[in-house]
Amino acid sequence: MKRFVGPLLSLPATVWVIVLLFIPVGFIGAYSVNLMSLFPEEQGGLSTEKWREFVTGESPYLRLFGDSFMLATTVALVCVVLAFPLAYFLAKLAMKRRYLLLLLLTAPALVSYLLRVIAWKVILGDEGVINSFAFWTGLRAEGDPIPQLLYSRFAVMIILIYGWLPFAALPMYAVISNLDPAPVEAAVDLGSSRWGAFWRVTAPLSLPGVIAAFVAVFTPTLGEFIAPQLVGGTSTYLYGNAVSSLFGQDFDWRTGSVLALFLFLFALVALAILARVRLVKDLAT
Amino acid sequence: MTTNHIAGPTVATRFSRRTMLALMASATGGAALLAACGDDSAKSPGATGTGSAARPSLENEKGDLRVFDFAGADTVDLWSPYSKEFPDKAPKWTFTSGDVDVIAKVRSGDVPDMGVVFGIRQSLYDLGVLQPWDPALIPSFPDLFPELTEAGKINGEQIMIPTQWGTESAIFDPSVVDKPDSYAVLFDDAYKGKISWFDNPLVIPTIAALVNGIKDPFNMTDAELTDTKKFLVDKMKNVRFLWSSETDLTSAFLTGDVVVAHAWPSAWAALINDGSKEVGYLAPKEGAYAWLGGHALFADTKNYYHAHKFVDALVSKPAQTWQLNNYASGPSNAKLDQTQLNETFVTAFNLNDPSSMASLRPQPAIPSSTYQRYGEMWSAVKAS
Repeated sequence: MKRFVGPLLSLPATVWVIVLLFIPVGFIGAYSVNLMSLFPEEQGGLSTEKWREFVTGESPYLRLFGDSFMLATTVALVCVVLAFPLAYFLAKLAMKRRYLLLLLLTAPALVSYLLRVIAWKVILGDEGVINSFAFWTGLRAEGDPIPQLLYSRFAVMIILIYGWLPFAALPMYAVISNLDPAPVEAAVDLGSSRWGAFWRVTAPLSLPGVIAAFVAVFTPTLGEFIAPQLVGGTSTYLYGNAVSSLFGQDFDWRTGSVLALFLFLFALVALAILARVRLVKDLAT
Repeated sequence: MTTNHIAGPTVATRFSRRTMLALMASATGGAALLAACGDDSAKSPGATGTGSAARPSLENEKGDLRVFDFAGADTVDLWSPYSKEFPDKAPKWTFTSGDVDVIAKVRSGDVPDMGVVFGIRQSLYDLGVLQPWDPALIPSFPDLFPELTEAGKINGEQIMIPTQWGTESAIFDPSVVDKPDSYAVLFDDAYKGKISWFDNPLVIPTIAALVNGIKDPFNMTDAELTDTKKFLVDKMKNVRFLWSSETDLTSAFLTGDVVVAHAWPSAWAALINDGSKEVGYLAPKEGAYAWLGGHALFADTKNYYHAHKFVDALVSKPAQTWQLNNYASGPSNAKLDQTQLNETFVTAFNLNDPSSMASLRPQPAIPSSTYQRYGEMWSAVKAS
């Protein structure tokens, strides 16, 4: 009887994952190989044509994935670099004010993401806050705004970094605040400088938080489409935009399914690799 | 030493690779099975429906209409005559985001009594899920612009009752742009980085085709489609952003982010009403295209007569007047009292010149193959 308890307890979660994750993914898979289609006329039996076009680079989407990958990596790295000192400050130095500061850090997330992106448009627009300031100070001639501020890759990155920074800080904060101070004290007692102790003890022990922060930013950013759509312009059309467009406007569910499934599989493999790396590390320690 | 886990590594060890693959395979297999079992043949192409002898009378119908429409269509003013005649009945609404959404819902088996359609009416007709309206049951029908009702026909049957339209044209900033007379202004290198296009697989490609002298923009050959794709990829460098919400477009125009943009009369009228910036509206020498929307009647409706009453209310004078004045959608009813209409909108839609309708080129019904070919091309242009 005892051996059934585990499977029984995991049954609801298993059913949940199968019904809400694997079956829909299966449907997307069926669309991608033409076993299902938006229009019945499309259906000509199993076809891997769209997969071939994608993988061989015949369609532009693999390149688009590369672009998005680079952008997501950059955003995640910048977020981690900027959020680490913040998380360290909150965990080790803010003392009694830490909860108030944490609240302030996460407060923007209480406002709709869409509204925050639109607010950035007001700041970055040709007649926005920054350009108006540039006109006022004479840094730019009136009517000659800085064109790269809005509808550019720069605008998308600024908004993504701004939006994800708190979510990068939180896992690192959780890890750093739980660190045992004894190893650092031991290192200092044994002659290491504070800086050396930080690099040799605190930083390696914070790595799980750093990895979690990177994943927390990288994964959703890879499929991001709202910020690029609103402030990216035509030069920052990302993979997520293509998926959204192919399904929502362009009547091309087959290609959309290939892209969606590839993204899902990529995320799955990336997370599996990360989990395996963590496992190896845990075994080693 | 405390170890901080970001994710339980044990999860990875419990699910072996083989188990994972088996789960994936079973899910994909299940979906494939479902796909194979799905009723993809639907019905035979063409309009179908219950014969009049088998239909219950208006009094015997439940009148629980289910309608597909855009958010905002539930405003009673848009169908006030129906609500006055049947005060205890109101449609059950399912809001859609457009043609893709409608076909997706119908293909998944979610079929209403009637619904808003645009070019997709041809594909729905080909699926055999629509039936023709009976104009004799729609008292307002003779008041409608014949050019629009004609466009709502497929194989001689009145598949769509037109309820709304608008020209596909362009707004421009007259202080920057010399008054244009052609759709070519949307592709003009002189306004590089200050142009905005509408994000839709049919609109900009067909306008580009028209500019490049292609005879039948809605039915381009593969070679013409390839040429149009090359042209659009080349001109994309001039485009600052693709708009999908009219609010985004008007705010970008007001802030000077763009000076030329594809737009509908509703955007032009909104900018005129705003009054903070001068705005021009293109009258293209190529002849103005117009999007055309209306309502289609689904074949299996149990509310045939109620649907006719309802569509009659949609195209009635009070409802169409309200629609123009409040939603800035072109009216299909030609007999509106002009004194009741917003003057700006009258100008925007050329309603004071009844002959203008003759030169209008309403978007035709679009077969699914066109959606597939144009959609594939348009998404590749965006990704280029």
